Amino acid sequence: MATKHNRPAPKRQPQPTPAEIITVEEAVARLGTSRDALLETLLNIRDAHGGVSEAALLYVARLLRLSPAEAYEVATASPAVNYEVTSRRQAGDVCCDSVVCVMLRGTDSGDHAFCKGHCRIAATSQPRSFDAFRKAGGYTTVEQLLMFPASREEILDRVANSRIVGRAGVGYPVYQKWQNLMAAGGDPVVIVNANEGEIATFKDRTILESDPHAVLEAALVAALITGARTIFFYLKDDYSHLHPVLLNAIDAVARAAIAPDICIHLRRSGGAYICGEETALISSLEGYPARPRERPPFPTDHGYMGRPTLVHNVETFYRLRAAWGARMEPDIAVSGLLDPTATLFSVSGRVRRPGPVLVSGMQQPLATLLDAAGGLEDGHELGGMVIGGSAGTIIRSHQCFVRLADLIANGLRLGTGSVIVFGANDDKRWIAAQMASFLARENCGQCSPCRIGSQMSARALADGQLDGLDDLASAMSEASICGLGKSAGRFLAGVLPLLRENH
Amino acid sequence: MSVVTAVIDGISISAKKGTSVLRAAQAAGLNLPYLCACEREGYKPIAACRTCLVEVGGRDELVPACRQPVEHDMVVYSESERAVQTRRVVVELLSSEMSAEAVHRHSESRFQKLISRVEADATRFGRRADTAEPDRRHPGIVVDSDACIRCGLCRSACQDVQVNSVIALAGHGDGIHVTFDTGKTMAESNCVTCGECAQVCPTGAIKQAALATDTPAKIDHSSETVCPFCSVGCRVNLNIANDRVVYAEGADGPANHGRLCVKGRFGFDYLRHPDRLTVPLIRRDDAPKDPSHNLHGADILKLFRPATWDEALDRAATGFRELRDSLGGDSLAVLGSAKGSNEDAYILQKAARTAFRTAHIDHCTRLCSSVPPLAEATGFSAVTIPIEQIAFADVALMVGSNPDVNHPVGASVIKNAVRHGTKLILVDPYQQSLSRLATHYLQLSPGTDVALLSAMTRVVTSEGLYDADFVRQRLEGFDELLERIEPYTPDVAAAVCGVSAETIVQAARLFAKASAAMCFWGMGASQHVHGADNIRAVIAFALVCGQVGRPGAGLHPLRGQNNVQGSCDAGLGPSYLPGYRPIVEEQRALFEGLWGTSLPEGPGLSTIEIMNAARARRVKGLYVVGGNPSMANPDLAATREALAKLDHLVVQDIFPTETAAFADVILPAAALAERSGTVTNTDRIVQLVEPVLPPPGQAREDWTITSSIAERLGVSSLGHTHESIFDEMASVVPVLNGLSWSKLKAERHVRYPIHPAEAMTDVSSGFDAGLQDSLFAEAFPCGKARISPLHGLQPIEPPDAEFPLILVTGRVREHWHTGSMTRRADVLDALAPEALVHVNSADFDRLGLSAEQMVSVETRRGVISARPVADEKLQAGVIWMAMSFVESAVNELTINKLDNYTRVPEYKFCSARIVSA
Repeated sequence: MATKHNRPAPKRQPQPTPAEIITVEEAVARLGTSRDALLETLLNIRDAHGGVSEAALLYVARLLRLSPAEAYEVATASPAVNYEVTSRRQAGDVCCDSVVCVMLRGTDSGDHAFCKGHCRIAATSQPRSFDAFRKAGGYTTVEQLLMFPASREEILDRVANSRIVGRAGVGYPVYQKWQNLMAAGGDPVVIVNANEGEIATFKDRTILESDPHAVLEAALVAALITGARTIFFYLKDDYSHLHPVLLNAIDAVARAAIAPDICIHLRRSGGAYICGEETALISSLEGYPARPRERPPFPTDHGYMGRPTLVHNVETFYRLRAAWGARMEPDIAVSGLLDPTATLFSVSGRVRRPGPVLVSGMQQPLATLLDAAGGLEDGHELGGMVIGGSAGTIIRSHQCFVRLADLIANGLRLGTGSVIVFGANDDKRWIAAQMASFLARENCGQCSPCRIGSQMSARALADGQLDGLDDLASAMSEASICGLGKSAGRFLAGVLPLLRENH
Repeated sequence: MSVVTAVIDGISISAKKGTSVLRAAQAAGLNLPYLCACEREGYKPIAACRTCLVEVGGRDELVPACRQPVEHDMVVYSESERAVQTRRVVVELLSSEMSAEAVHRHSESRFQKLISRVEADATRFGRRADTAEPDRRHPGIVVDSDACIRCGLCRSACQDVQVNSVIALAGHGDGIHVTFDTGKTMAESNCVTCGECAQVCPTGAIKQAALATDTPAKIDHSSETVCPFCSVGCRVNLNIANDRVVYAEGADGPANHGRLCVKGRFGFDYLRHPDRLTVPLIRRDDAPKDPSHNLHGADILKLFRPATWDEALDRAATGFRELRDSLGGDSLAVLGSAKGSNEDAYILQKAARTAFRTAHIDHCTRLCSSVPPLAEATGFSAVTIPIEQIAFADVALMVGSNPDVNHPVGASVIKNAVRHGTKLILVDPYQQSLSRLATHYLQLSPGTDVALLSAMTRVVTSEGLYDADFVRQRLEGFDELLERIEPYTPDVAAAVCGVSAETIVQAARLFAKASAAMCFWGMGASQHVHGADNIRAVIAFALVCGQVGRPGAGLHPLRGQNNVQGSCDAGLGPSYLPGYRPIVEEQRALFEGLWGTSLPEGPGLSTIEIMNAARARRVKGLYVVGGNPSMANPDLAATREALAKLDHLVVQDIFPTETAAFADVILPAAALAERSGTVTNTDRIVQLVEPVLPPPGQAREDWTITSSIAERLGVSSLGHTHESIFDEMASVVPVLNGLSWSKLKAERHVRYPIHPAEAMTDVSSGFDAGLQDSLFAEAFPCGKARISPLHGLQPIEPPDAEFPLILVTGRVREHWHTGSMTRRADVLDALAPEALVHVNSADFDRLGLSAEQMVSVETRRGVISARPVADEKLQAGVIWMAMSFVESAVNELTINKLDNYTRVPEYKFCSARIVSA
């Protein structure tokens, strides 16, 4: 017994720098020390120091009374945190690795002009101010609800009659969601999902750049009707230019005491596509890694901190305003969305002027989007389009000239309305592989069919090995926890016939 | 409880509402495939592996059986083509996550069996490249990341079940991976080596080192015993090959539900350690007892020669008989151990009283003594409420206890409750790991508990937050209490304790306003000359708040050794007879009738007093069964002097302890895992154990050796069988009323009192607890509870210019008491190989210490050498050492001063200094 082991003496923990301490103390003073402050505190450190060091992470963990592992999970599951990456990077400096940018600039370009989530689109001009929005009648419905609580029923009826559906892809009726939330009772929470993570999609960004108060108004109305006193605005971290815009907007609402009993918190995402999946989003807000949770229970029953939670994306909130009589305004292009038949497409790829295109109705073919986007890039012929983002549908050039309504009748899903135009010389298989690899990179990693299946399919598509992928596609869509994996499976199943035809 | 019925694969089942399809199917004998689920308590469905997906009638999507509750009239198809096909592809995908070498290393794993079962093509999607050899840097657990399928079960084990929160599932997408703390290796991390992750890992990626060898031993058999290492009473399954324990697993015991801690997982090497005593030994004539000798291990054996049992027993008994017959039984003393069984304890006290004819009988519980003040207040000598009831508590107050180290599995229950909303008020000078979870952490200065708790009590009485009805109807001594606490305003206490007045007020209010609150306390409260006062102050606070007798409301002194409760119940103490019967004429008559002999008068001496009496030559013969005063007692030089002065010392143990160095005769005993018997845990659960291994060599069960000595002292038939001994004990110990060996044999474990009302009636009246775990809803065994006055002592040796530091002693997670068992376990000794003297970080720097340079730690009683370590969790001016290291035995330094009520030594406070070598 008592053999001497040469075990190293316990090491002391790395200590944060004074500057890191100041950043953390300031963030914690503002955000508090409960677990839900974790991600935003880490992003504050990232903002100030370019990244989060181990010492800073341990310091935050101690203040928030988390174990090192609990904090580390969140730091490493959130690419935006730049854990242990301390080289200072400007927001927008990050090269985009989406299929669009890679297609246009190639894989080895050092060109920093194409930036993540921006898709060569410059920010629109000044957002409509609080005063201008008020002058145009903004927030009157909020005031009405506060002054005449009885008007709640009337507005709720209008929401029901408007038949507005969610715009995040699934198309669930808004009114039904609200009913579910209100039936759950308790202390509900409203979340504005502004983590627009789908590749080549910038419609929510366009809305926020132009009319942020309209979204806040709709969120406040939803809160007042459902009895929520807390609103979270969950912003895609890459939309850093919108962060001050929204801070100002929220501040203006607070200063004007529009709805003094409702607290609006602005939070930024962890920087991954999966952060926008609503249960992952809720996990992220609670201070856990952004990993989806199995449904049921649905967030409307058991969401943020176990409270009934209403999550809509920016576009859904924006469109909701039609229910209480908001009208289209010529100066505000995105207000065209108040027309229920309108679709805001995000057009990118081999076009001269990529950008948002508002289309009314479904009678036109998708090819008309090309005109709005300034036509094809020089030297390219139309090869086809990718509709609906990373797990979307690749359509061939001739289908671009078919009436949209007919394509939809044949099963096309518009998803988030992203349209990536590609040329006849662009390889559809390569595009498909890029899309698959986006999903392989951006999934949360927790469930096996999605984590491994998306890797396998990306590799197989890149290699052109298309045999035996059918039951992989089926297993991914059958067995994945959340919509990302399921749609990745459906995408694979859908793209296989197209690629085999090509062979 | 509502029951739902459903059909799974054509078989009708009924299950409690809320039961998962997976569990309901298992209960019906259908073994659905699964990987990342675990049926044990605390595991929530992860549903990440997706291998348990089933088809459910009426549902569009496949659902995970581990997560889906059975619903009424649900029809489940686990073997539909769709489910089978999906499952197979999922398993094939998972299989691609393991490297070929890793598959080879873990061919017997649960995952490999699943691959065969679902007829998956294991290499269809290729294999991960071999990247690394398994990480063997941790002494007890091997991490083989090439075998990891990232199912997350280990994370759940670490974060949800044991709540150690060391394992992380870091990263995202394909980069998601299992890691420790902030990306450390397991060996570098804060891992506490509970081994829960290794027990549940389905692939072998995390595996106990004993199993992660090229040629793992083939297990001959495995069976259960109760872990010997603390009072939680975990059931443990020992897997045996070639007469040795290869590895231990948590078994589904009433207290642990399959969990273990590092000692229970890795502590069983001692059973077959070469140092085990296997033959009786008699001291050689040429080996005089020298108090300056401080021998260990094999060196001790050189002083002895082997003997036959007959010769050794004769020699042992003769020494005692001569002293008894010439000087009277008063010259003899008996020290037992709380590590034995109830039967050992009962027979030992019976032998002491009837054959040795001495009242000087005690055991190591004396050194903890957390319960006597509770008995003083309530008339009951056990916890009023079991640990698990904390799940029903809104608030828990913990004073001077570090369960994460000393009762780790109990701590996992506490941590789970805190995670689910119980608010913890932690009172401890050391910023222990639970402080992270505490709502209020009160880091008081050592030895100031009374002031703190008095102030908290004063807050609730002065603010009218106390339970006036409870105080009026069920409490005595309230007015005197009010008078006593009057000076302790929060400000006064703040100045004394170093805790802010605001925190004191908030904590007191939180506790008083709770609809149910529990109190825990431990050695940090009791091991002071004012230990009883500390505990009295806790009890008074709880009682005036009426926090007793409801679910989640009660008093729980966290007891020390595995059979503290049972040894005390059995009467292994100097101040009461079995069943806590006072030594009065009427009760003595009861036993005199039962045992057919007269009993010695009056209370005898306690553990430390026995040693003091030996030094004064008043006690001349001592029988030590399982104890090790030569490491455990304070001021070891004085203890060795006492032992050397004895005319006759018989030591009965499993190892040649430091105490045995002074023995005339050493008798080899069987360990707990080598015999039958019963043990009683801190939660009042009596558990039956049966031998897992035979005793080595000629070692025998303690009670049979004791009986043989008694027989030679003229008292035969102390006990015949385990059954008859337990049943006799149950017949005289009121709390055991209604318990019998046969009942235990049938039920394996029973919580007492099983008839609370009857249990108490023959000791006292007015007891009507009702059949529930939280006792005393209506009345206490003594009728009204008594708030006792305090004795008012202060720490006996405050720091001064010469010895400016406060030395506090305790234990480390890896070692048990004097280390005789755990230091002989390879993994435990590798994890904690040496004594460290913990020094506050600022003091460490101020004193110019280095972890590379040994220092001398000195008090007025002795000097030891130890490695210093900076510890920011300690207060300035305080140093801390564990008691388990024989080469740096901290009890050389501690002070031999006792609480005059509990007779416990002041282990937790004396003045000391550090001198650089």
